Amino acid sequence: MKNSDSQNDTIQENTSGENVCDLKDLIEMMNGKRHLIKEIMNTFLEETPKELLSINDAVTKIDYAGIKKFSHSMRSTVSIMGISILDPILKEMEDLGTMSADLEKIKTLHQKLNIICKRAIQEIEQEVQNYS
Amino acid sequence: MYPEPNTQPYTKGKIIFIVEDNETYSRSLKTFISNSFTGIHEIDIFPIGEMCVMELSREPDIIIIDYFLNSKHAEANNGLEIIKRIKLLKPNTNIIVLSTQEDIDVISETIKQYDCTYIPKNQAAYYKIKLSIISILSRAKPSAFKPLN
Repeated sequence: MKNSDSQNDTIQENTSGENVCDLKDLIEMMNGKRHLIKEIMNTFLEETPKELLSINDAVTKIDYAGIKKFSHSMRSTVSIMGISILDPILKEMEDLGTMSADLEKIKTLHQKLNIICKRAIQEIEQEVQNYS
Repeated sequence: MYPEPNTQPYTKGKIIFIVEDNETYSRSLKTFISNSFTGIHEIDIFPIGEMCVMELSREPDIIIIDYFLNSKHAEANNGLEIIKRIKLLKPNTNIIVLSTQEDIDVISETIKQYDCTYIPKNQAAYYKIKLSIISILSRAKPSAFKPLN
């Protein structure tokens, strides 16, 4: 438990003070059209918890094929919101899932994923207020 | 950062299918395409490839498909199987294949064999999709004149 807490602290320190989402590309792609950007942010807020649940479930059940599939799929979501910090984490989870290996490492990555996603959701929840 | 292309193809009446099981990605892509090409008649999303195959009689001008499709429906075919079936039924369909960068070695044969356009899923993906749509629709022939019987 102590180990896990100190890992969480480290992750939080590493991501504190700076946004994990970079919406520059999204805004540019949508030509700055606020209603479109808002729509996509709302889709992210709606879908990301479901995607996280799928990954959580796969990790709990030690379902390597599921870990691989859901991690791979989630990489698409994070690319839209510019959460580049998550891509190497999801890629590693996907690779370990493919190899059916190193459950402990998967659990650590999964923990990071949850923390960063929580942070990303908070950021987008705040941001979406500016688009109302 | 992304220069605006100076060509606007003829988009009126065009149909685009998006075959993607990640809902955030597919809905964002649909929003992006409809915002970029105002004349497009229909943009339909299919989370399962088989559903797209069943709708091929609607003659989509472009199909944008994710190569790894069965993340939500384990029993669903992957992108490769769907591409094969599309090309078998409608050989002239324009297909844009999306996948992560590191998959290119795995899918390069498919791209060549089935004459698809490959776009890696990264932050420039939407822009490249836009350029591909312009390129495909710009070279598309006008609909053939159908004489009355």
